Amino acid sequence: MNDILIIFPSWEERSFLGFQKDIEKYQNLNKVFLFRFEKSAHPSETHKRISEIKNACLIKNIVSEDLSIPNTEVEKWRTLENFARNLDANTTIYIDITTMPRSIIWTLFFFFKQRFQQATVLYYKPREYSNEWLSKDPGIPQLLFKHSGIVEFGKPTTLFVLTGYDEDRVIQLVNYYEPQNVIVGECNQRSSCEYGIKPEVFNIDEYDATWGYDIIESKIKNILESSNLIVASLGPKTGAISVYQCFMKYPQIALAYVPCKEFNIDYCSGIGEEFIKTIKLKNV
Amino acid sequence: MNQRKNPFEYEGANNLPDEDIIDFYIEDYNFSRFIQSKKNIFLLGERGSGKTMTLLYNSFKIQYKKSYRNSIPVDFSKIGIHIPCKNPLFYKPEYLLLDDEFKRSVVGEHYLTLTIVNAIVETLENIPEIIKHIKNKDFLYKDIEYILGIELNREYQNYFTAIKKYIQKEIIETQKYINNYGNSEFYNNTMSFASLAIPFIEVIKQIDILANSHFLLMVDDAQDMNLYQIKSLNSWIAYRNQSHFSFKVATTKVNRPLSITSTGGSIFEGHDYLSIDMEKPYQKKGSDFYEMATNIIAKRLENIGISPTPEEFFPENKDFTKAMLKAEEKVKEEALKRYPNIDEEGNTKKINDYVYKYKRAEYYRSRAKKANLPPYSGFSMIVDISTGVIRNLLDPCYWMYDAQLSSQKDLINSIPPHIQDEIIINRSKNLWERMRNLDKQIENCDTQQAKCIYQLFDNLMILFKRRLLEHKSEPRAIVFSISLMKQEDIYVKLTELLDIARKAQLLYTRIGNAKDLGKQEKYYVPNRLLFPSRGLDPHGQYSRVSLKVTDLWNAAINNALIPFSDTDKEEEIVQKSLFDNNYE
Repeated sequence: MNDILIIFPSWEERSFLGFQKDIEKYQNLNKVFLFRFEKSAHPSETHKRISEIKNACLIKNIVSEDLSIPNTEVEKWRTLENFARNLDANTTIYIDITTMPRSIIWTLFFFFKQRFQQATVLYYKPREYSNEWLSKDPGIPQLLFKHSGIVEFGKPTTLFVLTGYDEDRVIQLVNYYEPQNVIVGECNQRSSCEYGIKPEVFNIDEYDATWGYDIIESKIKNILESSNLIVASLGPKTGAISVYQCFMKYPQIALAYVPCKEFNIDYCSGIGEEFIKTIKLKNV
Repeated sequence: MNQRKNPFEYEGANNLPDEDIIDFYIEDYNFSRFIQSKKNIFLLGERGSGKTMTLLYNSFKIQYKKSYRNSIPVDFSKIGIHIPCKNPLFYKPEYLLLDDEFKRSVVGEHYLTLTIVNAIVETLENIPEIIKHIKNKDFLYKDIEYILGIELNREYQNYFTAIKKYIQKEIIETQKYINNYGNSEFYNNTMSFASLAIPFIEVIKQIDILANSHFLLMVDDAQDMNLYQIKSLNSWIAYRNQSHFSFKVATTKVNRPLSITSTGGSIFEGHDYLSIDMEKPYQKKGSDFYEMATNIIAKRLENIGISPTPEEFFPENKDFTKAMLKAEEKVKEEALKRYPNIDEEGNTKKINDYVYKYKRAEYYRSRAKKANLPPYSGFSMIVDISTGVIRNLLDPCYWMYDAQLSSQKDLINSIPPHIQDEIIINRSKNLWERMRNLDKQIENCDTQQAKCIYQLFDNLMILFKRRLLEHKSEPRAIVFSISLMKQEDIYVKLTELLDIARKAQLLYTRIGNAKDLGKQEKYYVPNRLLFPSRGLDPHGQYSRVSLKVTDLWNAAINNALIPFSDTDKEEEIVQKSLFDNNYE
C-alpha cells in the first residue's frame, strides 16, 4: 500500500503544527506532497513552514516532494490532473486541507473520484482568530472547471454562500453574479451586510458531526427544482468539503470561488481542535 | 390603494412582474424609435441606467400584454425578444481548457445560439394568435427537424413548446457532456447562428401572421459574454441582410465589448450599428431627463393613489428657497451694475447668464463659514443628485418614503424637507464609505487602487468647493475633462482608476464637443450624490473644467491638492451649449 499525505502549507502556525499531528497519527505514510502556488502570499514565511515540514519528514524517514502549482486557472487544472493521474491505483490518500485553497481541494476531489474510492480529510482550526481583516483584493469570482453546473433556461439564479468572517466577499459575489435570490449560511451570527438584495439567512455549524453537510444538503435540494444554483464556501474548510459532497450528489450545482491576492499574515494563530473525516468518492 | 407599499422599489427590472414593467415604465420615444427600428443598436449605460427596463418594455411579451390592457390591436410587425446574458451559462469557463481557438468560438456560439432560439420560442409559445395561425404544422415540423437533424416530440400540442423542449434538452446534454471527466471540452453536436437561428426564423416566418415580422433580438448584459461570444455577436451584427432581424445590445460602458468579429474584422458605428447612451447628461428643469424623472415619479405616486405632483410631494426647504431668492436678487443687482443698459443688444442675455452663473454660488458664499451643511431637499435636488441615472433617482426616494412610513400612520402626501435632507446626507455619506471599501466590492480593485480613488475624489471635491466659494467666472463647474493626455503612461494608469470608479458608479462619462470645432472629447461626471455630505451644490452649470492628467494623478497617488486658480485660462473652460446633446 502506498499511503500519501497531501498538504498545502502556508505561513500560518497551524500549517506545521497540524502536520506534526498528521505524521504522529499516520505512521505508515510513504510520501508527503507539499503543494504550493508558484506565486503565493507571504512567500518567506510560507517557505519557513515548508522547511519545517521537510525537516520533520527527514526525521521520520518520509519522502517529501514539492509540487509547484501555476497561478493561472488552466495550468493549475492541468497540473493537478497530471498529479492525480500519476498516482498509483493502490494509493491511500490523506489530505490536510487546513491551509489549502478551496479551488485546490475541489479540483483534487474531482480527479481523485475518477480513480479512488475515498480520501481522508484532516483539518485543524486555529487556536484563535484575530479581530482584524482576513483577506483583501479579491479577484474575479470564478466557476470551477467541470463544476460550472447544469444551467436550465427559464430558472432564476440563486447564490448560496457559506460565509466566514469576511462578509464583504459575499457582497462581491452578489454584485458579480446579480442573482435573483441569495441564501446565506452564517456561522458567526453576525448581522447580514447590505447585500442589495434581501437574503434568506440560516445558521450553520460547519464543525458539527456532519461538517454542516446535513443542513447544506437539505437547503440545496429544496432549491434545485426551481433555481440554477451557484454555491460558494467562504467559511471553514470543513464546509467546503460538505459543499463538495453535495456537488457529488447534485452535479447540477455550480461551484464558485473567489481568488484573493492578499491575506493578513496575523489573521490567526496557534492550533486548535482537529477534524478528521473519510469521504467516499464513488457511488454517491 | 396601498400606501404602506413603498412605490419607489427599484429592484432589477428582471425581477419585476410584467404588470409592474407596464405600470412603471415611462416611454422615452428617443429610445423606443431606435429599438423598434430595423437598425442594430448598442444601448450603453452603467447599472441602474434603465437598459434592461427599456429592453423588457419593448419585448413582445410586454407589448402584447400592454395591447390587451389598452384594448388595441397587437402589432406583429416587430417582435422583440429579450435575451438575458446575466446567467451562469455565460460564466462557464470550460472553453478555456480547449487549446484550439476555433473550438472555443464554436462552443461559445453554441450556448449563445441556443439561448437566442430558446428566447424566441418562449416568447412565441404563449401567444394564442400565433398558434392559431399555424396552418401547415406538419411542414413546419419537417422544416425544423431537417435543420436540427432530429425528430421533435410531436406530442406537444404547441409547436413552439416542442422546439423549446428540444432546445432545453440540448443545453443540458451539452453541459453534462462537457462537465464530464474524460470528455473533451468540445461538444460535437454544436449549433451556430447560421445553422440554427437564421433558418429557424425563416421557418417561422412561414406562419402567415409572422410573414412580415421583424425580430428585434435584444441581447442584455452583453459585457458578461466571453470574448468568443462577443466576436460571434459582432459577426452577426455585421451580417448584411437585416430584413428578418436586427440586434439591440445592452452593455455597460466600462467593459464594453470589443468591436472585433470572429474573422478578425470590425464592426463600425454608423455603418453596422448605432449607439445610444442611456445616461442622461443634463438634469436641469426643462431637460429630457427632468421630464422623464417627473413622469416616472408621478406614475409611481399615481399607482398608490397619491395625487400631488413630484414637486409637491418632495417640497423644497422654505428657508432654502427664500435664501436662494435673496441670492438671486443680490446677483441681479450686480448684473445690472455690470450691464446697466438693458436696452443694449445682448445685455438682457448677459444679465440672465450672469444671474444663472452666480446666484446659486452666491447662496453658498453667503453662508457663515461655520454653518452646518446646507439643506438638501426638493424634487429638482433629487433629480440633480441622480446624475441622470434612473436607479439613482429612485434610491433616495425609496429611503425617504420608508423613513416617512415609519413615523406616519396616516396617508402620506409629501415628504418633509428635513426627512429628505436627512436621507440625502446619509446616502451621500454611505457612498463615500462605499468608496473607501471598493477593494472589497469591485473585482480586480486592490486596496491601493481603492485608496487612490478615494484620494482623487476627495481632492476633486476640495477643488469644486474652492471654485464654488471663490471662482470668479465658473463657480459651479462640476464636470471635468482631462488635458495633457500626451502623457500617455500617466493617462493609462489614471484611466484604470477612473474605470474602476465608473464600474462602481462613482463616475459617469459623456462625450461632448471640445473647444476645437469638430472635435469631441470625453468628459467626466462625478456621481452627484457625493456632493451633499461635502456641502457642495449638485446643481452644476453647463461648463466643465479641464484638469491636467498629472494633477489628477498626483491627487490620486500622493493625495495632493489639485491646483486652484480663481480664474481659468480661456482654453480650459468649455462653455457648453444648452442644446448640446451628443451621445457616446
